[in-house]
Amino acid sequence: MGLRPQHYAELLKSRPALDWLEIISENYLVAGGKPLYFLDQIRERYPMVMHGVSLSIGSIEPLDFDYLAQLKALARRVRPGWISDHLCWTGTAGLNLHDLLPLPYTAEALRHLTQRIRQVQDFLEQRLVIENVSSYVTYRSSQMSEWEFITALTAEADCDLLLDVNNVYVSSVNHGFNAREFLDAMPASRVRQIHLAGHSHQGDFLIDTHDTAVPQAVWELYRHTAARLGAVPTMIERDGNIPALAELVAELQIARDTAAAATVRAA
Amino acid sequence: MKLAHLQQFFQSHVLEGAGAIAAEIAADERFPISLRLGIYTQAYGARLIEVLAETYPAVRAALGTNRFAGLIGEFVKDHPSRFRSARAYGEELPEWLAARLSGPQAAGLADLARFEWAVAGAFDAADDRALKPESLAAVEPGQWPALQFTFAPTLRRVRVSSNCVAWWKFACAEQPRPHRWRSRCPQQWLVWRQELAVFYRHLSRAETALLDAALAGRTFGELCERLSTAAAAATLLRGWFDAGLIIGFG
Repeated sequence: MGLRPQHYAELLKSRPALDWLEIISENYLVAGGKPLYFLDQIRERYPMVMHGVSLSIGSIEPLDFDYLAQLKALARRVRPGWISDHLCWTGTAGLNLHDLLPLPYTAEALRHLTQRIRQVQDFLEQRLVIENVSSYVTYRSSQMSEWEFITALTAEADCDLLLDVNNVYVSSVNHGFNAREFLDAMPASRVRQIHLAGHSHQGDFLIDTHDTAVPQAVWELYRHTAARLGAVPTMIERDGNIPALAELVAELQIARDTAAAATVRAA
Repeated sequence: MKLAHLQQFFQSHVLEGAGAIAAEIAADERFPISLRLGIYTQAYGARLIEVLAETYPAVRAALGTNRFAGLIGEFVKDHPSRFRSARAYGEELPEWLAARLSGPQAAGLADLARFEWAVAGAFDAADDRALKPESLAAVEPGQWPALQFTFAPTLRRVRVSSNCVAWWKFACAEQPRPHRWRSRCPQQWLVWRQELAVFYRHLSRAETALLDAALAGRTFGELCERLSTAAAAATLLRGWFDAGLIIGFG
């Protein structure tokens, strides 16, 4: 599950049986104080992976090597299983919209991303894990589907994939595509991690809010994904209406049981 | 359309409502393009309002949630974020509030925002280890006049001219809501972090002057000259050590 400040004390006190925790990298790119104090304490007890939100890998802005240096220093401290960020851009012209903004699925974007992911991987000295985002628009200039784009990108940039099943579902409803077609197209050998989360409704439109329990439709897609991919490290992302730790741990058990049952059936 | 232009048009839409991006969005019969783009526009404003509500909880408590959201929405339009981390956003809010509002409330809310920005800065400043007063025991008497002190990076100074600290305590549920904003003679407050807890206290004029001098690198001998007795300077120095404000001397 994702490490959130609301659970720092309880994690240290009750030490639930968790295989690993995912941290939001930016929350710990600070000089000192409470975030780093708890990070170090909790890292002594649990393995971690790092998940960033501001790499802006798809932006036309030059890569920010100061940020990457901070990320690398944090990785030395955390010794993460892997480092991930999103397939998106967050701003241009020196500004940051603090959002995971959609990219066009074009040959130009593919070349741009491939070159930048390779640069980041060279700098970090490890393979980057890229997550598909939820989107609310598609561009007229797109030349391929999102799943075709991701498949091509992971091959050409030699990066791995964080498959967010909720994001696939949200985008499939908003854009009217078949979520299973997307999931079935994902290159199995590249999927390093899976995200599960909830979303909210604005009429028939879905918004990726991460503030509810994982809904049935996402569980069903997860079952389908687990049957195809087998045991992939999976976590539940919760960023709003954060419940008690025990509730999230119980929800995580559903994920474990779902994956185990799906894997057995597939075998 | 080229990626560069697409991103410029998209960003202009989110920040300024510019319409050029709409022609680049694929249309369908299910949801209008305005709804699709509106998700990003609304999310941008809402996210930065949420960020500033976390940085400035007492300003929000003083204004009330709705008025805070309205005012901060205006601030966000005037101040696009240039920061990778949203935590760094909003330093200009105190001056903006002072200019945007009027009456005692304007100065008071600006003071309160200045105070909260200092608290937020102290919260995750670097963790340099504070020295105990006993560490001075090894200093030879003859070396004392030349001693200079290094202060904790969590230390912040805030100058206020209102009863903003009473509003801060109200937001922290430490005292009832003040009846109104009041102007006061300028006061200096000290904000710092000790271990994981952020502290604050009022500074007297004498301590303000001495702290200014010490922060500027004046020696203990020079600090003593500013007070009536060396003992008075030593007492203040002891207080700084006890509060964990000193991380080095030499």
